[in-house]
Order: sequence, then C-alpha cells, then structure tokens
Amino acid sequence: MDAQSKKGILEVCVLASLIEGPSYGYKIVRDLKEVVDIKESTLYPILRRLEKGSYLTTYTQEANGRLRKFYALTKRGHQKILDYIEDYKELLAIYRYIERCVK
Amino acid sequence: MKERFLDELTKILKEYEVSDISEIITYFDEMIEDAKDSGLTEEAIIKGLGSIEEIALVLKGREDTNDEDEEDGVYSAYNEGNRRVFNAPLSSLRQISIDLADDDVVVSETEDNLFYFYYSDFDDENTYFIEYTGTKFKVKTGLKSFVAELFKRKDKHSVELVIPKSYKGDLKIETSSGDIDIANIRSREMKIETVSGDIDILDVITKETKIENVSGTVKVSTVDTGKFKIESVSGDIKVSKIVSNTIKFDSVSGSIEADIKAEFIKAETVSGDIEINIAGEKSEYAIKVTSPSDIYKERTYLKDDKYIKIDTVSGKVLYYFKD
Repeated sequence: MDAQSKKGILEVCVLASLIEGPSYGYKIVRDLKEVVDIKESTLYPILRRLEKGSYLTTYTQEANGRLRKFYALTKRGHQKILDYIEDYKELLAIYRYIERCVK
Repeated sequence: MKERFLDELTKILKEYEVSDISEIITYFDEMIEDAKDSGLTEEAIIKGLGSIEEIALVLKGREDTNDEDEEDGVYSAYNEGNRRVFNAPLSSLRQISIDLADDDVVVSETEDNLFYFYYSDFDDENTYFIEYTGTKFKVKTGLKSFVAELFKRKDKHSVELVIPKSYKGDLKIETSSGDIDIANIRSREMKIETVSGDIDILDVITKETKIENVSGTVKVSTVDTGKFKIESVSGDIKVSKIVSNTIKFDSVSGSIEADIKAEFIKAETVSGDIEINIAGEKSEYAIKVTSPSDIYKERTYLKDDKYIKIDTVSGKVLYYFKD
C-alpha cells in the first residue's frame, strides 16, 4: 500500500478507536496494534493532524495520580468515518471490476 | 532510563528544529508511564518504541510535509487545443513528483507564477491520478492506464510539466520505460529515475542531483549542483559542464564520459570504460585509481581536501586535467 493511502486509513482507524468513547495514547496504540502495524511515533503526528482538523478534541484528566491526555471524537470526526466507509464501497466496486477484467 | 531516553529525544528534535518538542516529550512520557502501569519494564518499553533516530525522523518528516495543509489545494483544469491543462498556484508548493510507467516526461521552466501540467489524453480523467495538497503536487498512473496496462493496449503518451522559475522545492520524476527530458530547471533536490527510458538533462541548478537508470542512456549538460550522483547498470553516461562539490558515478557495464569540475570525484564501474575531463590542476588532488591496466597504477598524492577515486574491474580508464 502506498504511504498516502496508508496514512488515510490510519487516520480513520484512530478515529474509529474513539467511537466507544474517549481514549488515551497508550490505549489507542494497543487497540490498533491488534489490526495494524503502528508505532507510537507514527500515532503522534496523526493525533495532531486530526486535532488540527477538528476531527477530535483533547482534554487532560488525572488518572493513576498522573495527568493523562484524552482524545474524543467530534461530529466532524464521526462524519469522516462514515465518508470513509462510503469511499471504500466505491473502491470495492472498482476492485471487483479490475478482478473481473483480469479473470 | 526513561529520563535519558527523553533527554536524548529532546536533543535530537532540537537539532531537527521540530516545533512542538515539549508536547512530544509529554506524549512519550505518558506513553511510557502507562505502559509501566500495565506491567512492562522501562527497558522493554523503550526498546519497543524504536530507535530515537527513527522516532525523530518520523516527527521531522511530519514537519517537512506541513500538516496544516491536509485538504486538497486549489487548482483548475481545462482543455487547451488538443491537450488538457492543469494549473495551480505555487505559494507553498514544496515537492513535485511524477511517477509514471511508459509515458515520456518533459519538464521545462516558465516566468509565470503558476505551474502547468499538460497531457494529451484528456478524454478520460482517469488517465492520470493527480493529487495536490498545497505542499505537494503528485502525478501517478491513473486507473484507466492501470486497467489498460493489464490488457497491454495502452498507447504511449507524453506529459509535460512546466515549473515556475521561482519554484524552490524538490523535483522527483520516475518512469519505467518513458524518456525523461528536462531543461532549465532550478530546484532544491532533483531525483530522476527510469528503468529503460533515456534521460536528457540540460541547464539545471539544484542543491542536489540524483539520477538512476538501468539500461537507458543518460545525457546531462550544464548543471550546477551541490551533490551530483549518477547510477546506471548498462546504460551509457555522458555528462558535460558539470559543476558540483561532489560527483559520484556508478555503473556496471555502461561507459562513463564526463567533463566536470568538482572537489570530490568518485567513479566506479565493473566493465565499462571511464573517460573524465577534470577542470583544475592535477597537483590539487589526491588521486587513487584502481584499474587492471598497467598504465594507471594507483597514485596517491598528499593532499586530501580534494580527491579523485576511480575503480574499475575490467574497464579502461582515462582522465585528463585542464584549466
């Protein structure tokens, strides 16, 4: 997969990991690592980008006697996930066409 | 252990001039603490994060691509005569990259502040996949070409890229069999790659120039650059009027013919012949030639602020000096 598409998918993965409620860095990485190879250092820029684009908001809260930064999905972020699913359906139709051609 | 990791990361991020260092450090600090709470040792956690160098590069790369500009940039596309014209403002453009298969690519310069990308097969929008993010302009083989390629019925096309004189970003062009023709270009880094296409470059000023080729011929003339590197497998290389701080030629069986001015020159070939004309005095250089021919035994001079190094297994070597 080329870098650009992978970047896009990772962004949506991060957003999707927040669907059930706000989460924090360590947990997001742990959740995503089950399905995709992501590094802590790769996640940081993605979170920053999503925050800048208002796809998610952040807040700091105390947990285990330390401050922890939480990330929460916004309406815009939610829409981005839905848009992605729509795009994916279109792409899937194209893939099917290519597959048929190759056969 | 954690402190040392964070200190080192801070140091290297400062070197890379990354802007939000304290936030990054807080992020990793929290990450390590949370991982510790889940029962991992600091040592294992830090090892799992990857090397500091690698982390810093990822975070630096993000700065380079400018994460503020994620939305598509504004551009217009229209038909002009028998070709499709695509243009966009230069403003924050930092990278132009073209990655195609058998299309020929022609690059030239304009006084305008817009850059243009022309292609003739404009009946179908899907011939090329064009992406413009404000900082990057990227052209790839589109869906139509991709499907057509599967059936091997694609006509050979050519695209033309016209870049403003004031452009200060990178230029990267890649093709598999298309020829690449570049004239009058200024850019930060220029990287040209092809497998079997021919490369012709004339009148270029860049900070760094890199040319890679497998079997096509490479012809380059009048280039002013900081670092110049040409790699070829079996294609011949012919360069003239090259001024660069360092010059490196690499070939397996192709011949190298060069007319250059540089402080550091390195030429390697297995069976190709090498003929180099160097601007300057022989006495200025430390010279080391490894060649099977008796005439060119290794000669080493004392100075090493300037050097010439030539290596060949079975090729012939000739080098001359001129003022």
